[in-house]
Amino acid sequence: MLKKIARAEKLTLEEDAVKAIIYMSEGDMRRAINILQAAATVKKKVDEKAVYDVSASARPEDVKKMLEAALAGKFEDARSKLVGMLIDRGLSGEDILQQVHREILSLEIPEPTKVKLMDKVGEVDFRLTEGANERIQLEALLAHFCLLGDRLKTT
Amino acid sequence: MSELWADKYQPQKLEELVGQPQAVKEMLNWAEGWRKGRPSKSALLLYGPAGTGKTAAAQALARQMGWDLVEMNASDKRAFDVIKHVAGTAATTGTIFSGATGKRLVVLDEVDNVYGVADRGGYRAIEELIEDPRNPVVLIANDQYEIPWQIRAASLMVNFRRVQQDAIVGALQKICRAEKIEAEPMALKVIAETSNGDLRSAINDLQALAKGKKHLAMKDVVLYKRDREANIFDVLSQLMRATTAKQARELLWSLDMPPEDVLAWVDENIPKMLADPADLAEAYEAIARADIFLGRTKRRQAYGMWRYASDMMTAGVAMSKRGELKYVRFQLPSIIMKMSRTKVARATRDSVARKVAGRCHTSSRVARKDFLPYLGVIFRREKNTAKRMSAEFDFSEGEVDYLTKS
Repeated sequence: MLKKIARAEKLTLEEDAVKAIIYMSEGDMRRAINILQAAATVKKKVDEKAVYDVSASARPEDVKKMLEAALAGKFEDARSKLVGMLIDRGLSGEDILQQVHREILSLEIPEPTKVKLMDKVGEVDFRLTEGANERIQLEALLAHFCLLGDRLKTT
Repeated sequence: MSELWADKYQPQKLEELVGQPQAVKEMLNWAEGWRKGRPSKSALLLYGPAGTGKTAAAQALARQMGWDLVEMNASDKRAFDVIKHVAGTAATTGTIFSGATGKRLVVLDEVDNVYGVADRGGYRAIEELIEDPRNPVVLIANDQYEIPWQIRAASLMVNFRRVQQDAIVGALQKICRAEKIEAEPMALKVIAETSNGDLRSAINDLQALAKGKKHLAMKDVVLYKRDREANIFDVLSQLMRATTAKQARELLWSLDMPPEDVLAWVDENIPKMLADPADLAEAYEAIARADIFLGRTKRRQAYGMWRYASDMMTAGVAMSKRGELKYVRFQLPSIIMKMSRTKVARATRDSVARKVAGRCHTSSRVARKDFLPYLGVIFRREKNTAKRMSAEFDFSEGEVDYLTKS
């Protein structure tokens, strides 16, 4: 469908961009088309970067790198990635959490650990709805990732 | 010269006490009750921050009323042997010094730091002391909530507030006159400001600064003030070396900084010190809890909640350390630097989202996520449409600016 529209509108639609749109729209067709249109107004050539730039979503790559850094015990590194998303890109904590939640499933860690992490994400999300500080709560989550990553290493 | 000015210029009468008119009134009324017989509560509980005049007030009261004074410190084990003795043998028959009508004023300092808390023996001794109707008792504490409610309920509570800056300046001026020191008004003002309502520390500072001088200039004080601000660094390094929760908690008292800022400092620097991931996770849980309590404080305007936030950000963090500490150079919280830059942008983002949400019958969250990015595109590309939309949504100039640049 997206490709059909792209042809009709004479856009160059890259394969990565299609994947990104599908990922972000979560099966919502209207949303997918809206994202495409917005990205197309920036440039006739729609690539992955254009897609993420027009949507207020965390790039899955960024989130994945942040989580991997945390699991590897590099807390400072993970934290600076988080601050980059929160402050420089202006994303909300909830946007990032949503992404974290989706990424957990594809991480290479034991399944029971994933369940523990998702539970933790839920707790943090609830705290944010209560008005807690986004940065601090997400940092606490990353510290938890560090801890579980460390336990996996030693066992 | 070795005498402390803070002692030398103590109030002789309660009326001379600086900056606590309400407390003075309450204490005089209570003392009047003793003159006539017995007030409804035989004990006063003076509570408030350090250096606000609690001990000086108790001493002035005894002097004024012609009572003998028995001063003890509740953190000292020996105090309770004395208390038992005092409680048993009241001065109803008079003392050598004050004759047959004389009373004995028992002043017990640091009641929020009682010896023998574990077996409650200390508190029980205090309860017995204040139940005895024959002796006036003054209890003194910084933190009233550290004291069991039975004791608080049995005492007349008198609050000592941080002394106002003007009152501190006035007191410092008086001392300067007496000591024949010429001080620039601004210099005294800065000392007062730095003391954060702690008159004793202001007087100590003045004495330290003016030692051997006839003239106190602004520049002498400025350098000194910078010293005091380095304090947060001391607190952070001491925090991770604290071995008891109480020790960690008390570090905050010496700090003149709102709890949100302290938390930002802790948040920025503590993770760098902790080598063990288990310690790190636990410390962060405490930091996150502190943040939640701060949020609750603000939302409900329940400022009592502050103390739990303080507990978590000090004791909670300090007690999470089991492994090694790394040496670090402390840094100014990046959040403070970065947030001040983006705070405005965030506020604008949220207000735009609210306006859009209102017009489009949706939630702010959906508006922010699904609409704002596209609005941004429109505002950058289509000036005419943007103009019409600004009118439609009633965007302010700042909001238009935000959308054009986002």
